[in-house]
Amino acid sequence: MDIFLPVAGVTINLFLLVGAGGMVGFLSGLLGVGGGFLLTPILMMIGVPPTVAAASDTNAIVATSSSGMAAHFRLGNVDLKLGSVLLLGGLTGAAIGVQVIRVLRALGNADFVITVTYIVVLGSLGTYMLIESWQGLRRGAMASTAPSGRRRGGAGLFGRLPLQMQFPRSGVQHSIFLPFVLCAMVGVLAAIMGVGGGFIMVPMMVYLLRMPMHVAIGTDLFQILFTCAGLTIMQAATNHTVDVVLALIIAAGSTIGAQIGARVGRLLRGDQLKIVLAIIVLIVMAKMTIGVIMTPDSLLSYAAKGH
Amino acid sequence: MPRRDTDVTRVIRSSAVLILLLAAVCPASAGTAQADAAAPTIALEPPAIEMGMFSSGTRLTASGRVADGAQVVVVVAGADARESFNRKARFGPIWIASGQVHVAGVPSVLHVFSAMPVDAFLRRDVIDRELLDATAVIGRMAVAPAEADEPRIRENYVELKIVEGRFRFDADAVHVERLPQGGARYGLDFVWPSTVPPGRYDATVYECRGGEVVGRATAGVAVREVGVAATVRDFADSRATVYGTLAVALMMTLGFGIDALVARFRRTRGRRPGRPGDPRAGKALPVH
Repeated sequence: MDIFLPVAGVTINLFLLVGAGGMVGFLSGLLGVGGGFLLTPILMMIGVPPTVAAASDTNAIVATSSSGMAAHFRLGNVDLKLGSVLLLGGLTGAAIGVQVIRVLRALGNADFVITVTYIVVLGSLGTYMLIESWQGLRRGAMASTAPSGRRRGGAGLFGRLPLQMQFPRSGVQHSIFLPFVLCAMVGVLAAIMGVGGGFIMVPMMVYLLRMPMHVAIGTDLFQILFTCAGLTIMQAATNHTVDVVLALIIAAGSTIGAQIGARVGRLLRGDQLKIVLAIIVLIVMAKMTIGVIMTPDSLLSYAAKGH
Repeated sequence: MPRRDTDVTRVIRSSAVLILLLAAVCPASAGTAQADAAAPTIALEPPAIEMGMFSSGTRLTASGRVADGAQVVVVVAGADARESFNRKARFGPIWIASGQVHVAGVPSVLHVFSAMPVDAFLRRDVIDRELLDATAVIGRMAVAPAEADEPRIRENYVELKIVEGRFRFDADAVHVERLPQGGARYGLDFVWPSTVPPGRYDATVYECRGGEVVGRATAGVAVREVGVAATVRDFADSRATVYGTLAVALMMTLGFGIDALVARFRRTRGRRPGRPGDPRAGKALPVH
C-alpha cells in the first residue's frame, strides 16, 4: 500500500515507513536516543528528499519522545528539575556550536574537524561504556554507577562549586553550573557533529553527573522533546520542509516502538542497557570509520542534517 | 509588354490545370506522399496525473504515428534543474565531505524510451544535441566549481538520478507497427515513477531517419496534487509557522495519547480476575 507525501512530493510504501518508525522508536524508548541519526539516512534510502527527511523526522521525534517520556515519567524516571537545567545548557551549547562551525568553515577545515571529532568521541565513549558495563555485569553488581545508600554528588573541585542544588529524582547533588556547562559542551559537540546528541548526552549524564541509567534516559527524552519541537517550527517556517503526513506515519510506528522499548528497558538492568547503547555507539563509529577510509561509490551526497 | 504578361498568365494557368488533373488522376500516390511527409504525432493517456493521498504509480501510455521506416524515440523531460550536493574528497588517508558542488544544465527528469539503442540509428552529435543518452547528459551538465575529479562527479550524478528514478534510458520500450494504409504507429506503456515530484513535464516523440531527427511532436503532461495532499501542501507554504506549530501539537497529542492508551490497557488487563496486575505501573520505580 503506497501513500503520497504532499510536501516531499513522492509516493512511498506505507508499511516501510511505519516499520522504520517502529524500529527507531524502539531504540528511543529503550535507550533515550532521539533516533534521527538512524532515521534520516533510512528515509533518504527509501526515496524521501533529504531536506524533507531531516525536517520531518524531527517532527516525528516529537511524538516518539512525548510517548517515551510519558512512559518514563509514570515510572518515575524523569528528573524535570535537572532536565530543565540540561535543556538550557544544551540550547546554549548548540548556539555556540553553530558559531564554532562558522569559524571552522571560514578556516576551511570544518569537515575534517567534524569527522575526526565524531570518530574520536564515539569511539572513546563506546569503548569506555562497553568495558565498564561488562566489568559491572561480571562483578554481578547492581547497575549503580556510584556507591548506593548515600547521595551521590560532585567531589573535590566540583563539590566546592557555588549554587549546589539537590536533584532528588536522580539522587544527586551538583552545582547548577556542572550540568549546565557539561550539557553546553555536549550541545557544542552536537551542533558541530550535526546530531541531537542523545547518544552523547545519556553517557554524559550517567558517567559525569552520576545519574542512574533509567533516569538519564527519561530525562534525555524530556529535553529531546523540547529541542525537536523548536526545531520543527523553525524548519517549517524557514525551509517549508516539514511533511506532516510523513511525520504522522513515522510517529505512528515510533510511538508504539517507544512504548515497547520503554517496557523492554524495564526488563534490563542498567549495565545491560549501557552495553546495548555502547554497541550501537560503536557500530555508528565503525560505520563512519569505514565510510571515511574506503573509497566511496559516489562522490556526491545530498546535504542533510541529522539530529 | 502587355503581350508578354498575357503569355506568363497563360503558362501559370496551364500549369495549375495540369497539377489539378494529375492530383485527380493519381489520388492514391498523392495520399502516400502526404503520409510520408506528415509530422509525427503524440498523444498521452491520461493527459494529466493526479496525486491524491493514496495514489500509487500511474500507468502512462504514449502513442502516435510516424512515417513508415522511421525509428522512434520518446523523451519525457522536466525543466532544467540546478542542484547542490556535498562533495567527498580525499584528505590524507580519509575521505570527507569537502564543500559543495553545483550541477546545472540538465533536466530535473529525463526518461528516454526507444526500440533499440539510440546510437544504433542516430549520429553521436545528434544524440548529444537532443540529450538522448547518459553520455550526452554527462557531456551537457555544468559542474561548479571545476574540480580535478569532475569526470567522476558527472558520472556519479547520472548514477544517482537513475537510482532515484528521475533518469531512465530504456532501449526496449517502444513498439512500432507498420500500418497497411502507409506510415507506422508506435506505442509506449510505462509507470510514472513515484519519485518524480508534481510539476509540468513534456513528452516528445522524435522521428529518426538516416542518423538524423527528421521530425518531432510534443505533448505536455501535468502532475498535480489533489484533495488532502493539495490542502496540506498549500497550508505548509502559505501559513508556514502555524503549520509548524500545529505539526508539533499533533505529534505531542499522538505521543501522549498513545502513552495514555497503553497505560489504560495495562491497567485494564491488570484488573482482570486471575491475572496479576503490574505492581510497578504508575509508581516511581527503583531504577537499579
